[in-house]
Amino acid sequence: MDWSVFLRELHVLGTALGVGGSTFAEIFVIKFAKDKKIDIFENEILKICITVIRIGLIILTFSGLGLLVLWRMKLLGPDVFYSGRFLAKMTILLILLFIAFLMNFRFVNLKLGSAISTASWYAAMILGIWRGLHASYFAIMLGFGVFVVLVYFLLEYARKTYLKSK
Amino acid sequence: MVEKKPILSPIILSAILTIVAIVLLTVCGELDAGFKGWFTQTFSHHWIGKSIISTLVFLLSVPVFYVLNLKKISSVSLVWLLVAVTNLSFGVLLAFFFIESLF
Amino acid sequence: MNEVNIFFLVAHIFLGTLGIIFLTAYLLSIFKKEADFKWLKINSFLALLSFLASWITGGYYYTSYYGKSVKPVILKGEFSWVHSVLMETKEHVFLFLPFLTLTLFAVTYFAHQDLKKDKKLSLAAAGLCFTTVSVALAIMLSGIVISGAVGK
Repeated sequence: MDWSVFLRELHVLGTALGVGGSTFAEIFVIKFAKDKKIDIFENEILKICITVIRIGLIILTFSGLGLLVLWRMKLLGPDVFYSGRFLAKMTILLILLFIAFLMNFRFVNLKLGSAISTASWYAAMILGIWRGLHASYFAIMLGFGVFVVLVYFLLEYARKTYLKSK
Repeated sequence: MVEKKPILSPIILSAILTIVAIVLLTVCGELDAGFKGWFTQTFSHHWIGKSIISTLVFLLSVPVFYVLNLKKISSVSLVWLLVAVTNLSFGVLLAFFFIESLF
Repeated sequence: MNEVNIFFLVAHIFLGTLGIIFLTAYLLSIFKKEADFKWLKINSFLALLSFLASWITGGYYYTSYYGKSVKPVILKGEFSWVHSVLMETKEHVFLFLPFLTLTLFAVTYFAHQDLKKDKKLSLAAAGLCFTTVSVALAIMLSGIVISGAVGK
C-alpha cells in the first residue's frame, strides 16, 4: 500500500467518525430533549459523541496534511490548491472549527451551532467525494449557506415532530 | 523555600521584549541590506541569525527583569500586554511585507 | 526534493500541528469546573516541545532547500506575492511561537494555584493560548497556500 492509498483510507476513516459522530449527536440530542432534561447517562453519551468527532477531526487533519504534502511533491500547484472546491472545503473546515470552539464555550445558540456544525461535516464530505465539481468558490459557498439553512430547518422539524410524538 | 512566582513577570516581560525585537530585526533587515547581509555573513542565513538573537534576547532579559523586581505590575496585566503585543506585531509584519511587495 | 528534505518538511508540519492540538486541548479544558491542572501543565509543555522541534525541522528545510529551490519557482510564477507577503510573514511570525508557549507553560506551572482561584488569571491564560493557537493556525494555512503556489 503506498502513502496515497494509506492517507486516503485514514481520511475516509476520519470523515466517517466525524460525520457519524455529529449525526448521532444530533439524533441523541433530539431524543434526550423529550423529557426536557439531560441526565448523567445522557450527558455521558453526548460526551462520547463529541470525543468521536474530535478523534475524527484529528485523523482528518493529519491525513489531510499528508495528502497535501503528496500534492506538493507532485507539483500540482495552483490548479488544485487554489481550485474553488478545495478552497471551499478549507473554508468550511475553518467554519467547523470556529463553531465547535464557540459551542464549547456556549458563545453561540446550541441549536444554530449544531446545525452549522452538522451541515459543515456533510458539506466537507460531499466536496471531498465530488471530484468532478468545477464550480467557483463563491458558488460553492453560496450553496453551503443554503445547505446550512436547510439543515437547520430539517433539525427543527425533527425536534418538533419527535417532541409531539408519544 | 523560594517562592516560584517572582520568575513569572520576568518571563512574560522577556517574551514581550523578544517579540518586539523580532519585529525590529525583521523590519531593519528588510530596509537595510547591509544589516541583513551582516546576519547572513555571521550566521550563514539571516533567519538563523534572527532565531539565535531572539533566543539570546529572551535568555538575557529574564535575569535582568528578575533583578529589577517589578512586583507592582500584575501577571494578569502582563499576559494581556503580551497578547496585545503579539497581535500588533503580527499585523505590523503582515502590513510591512504587503506594502513592501507593492514597491 | 530528496528524502532528507521531505522528512524535514513533513516533520515540521506534523510537529506544528501537534502543537496546535495540545494548545487546543489546553484551551478547551482550562475553564472546566473539574479542570485537571496536571494535564494543563502537560499540554502546555508538550506544545512547547512540539514548537521547538518544529522550529528546528522547519528551519532546516527552509535554510537548506526552500530558499534555493522553491522560492525562485514561486517568484517566477503568477503568485509571487505568496512568497513576498505570506512566506516572509510566516517565517518571522513563527519565531513568536516558542516564546508564547514558554510563557503559557510558565504561567501554568508557576501560578497553577492562582489559576484555580483567580478567574482573571485563567482568562488571561486562555487569551494567551487562543492568540498562540490563532497565530499557529495562520502559519499552517499560509504554509498550505505557499505549497499551492509551487507548480510545474
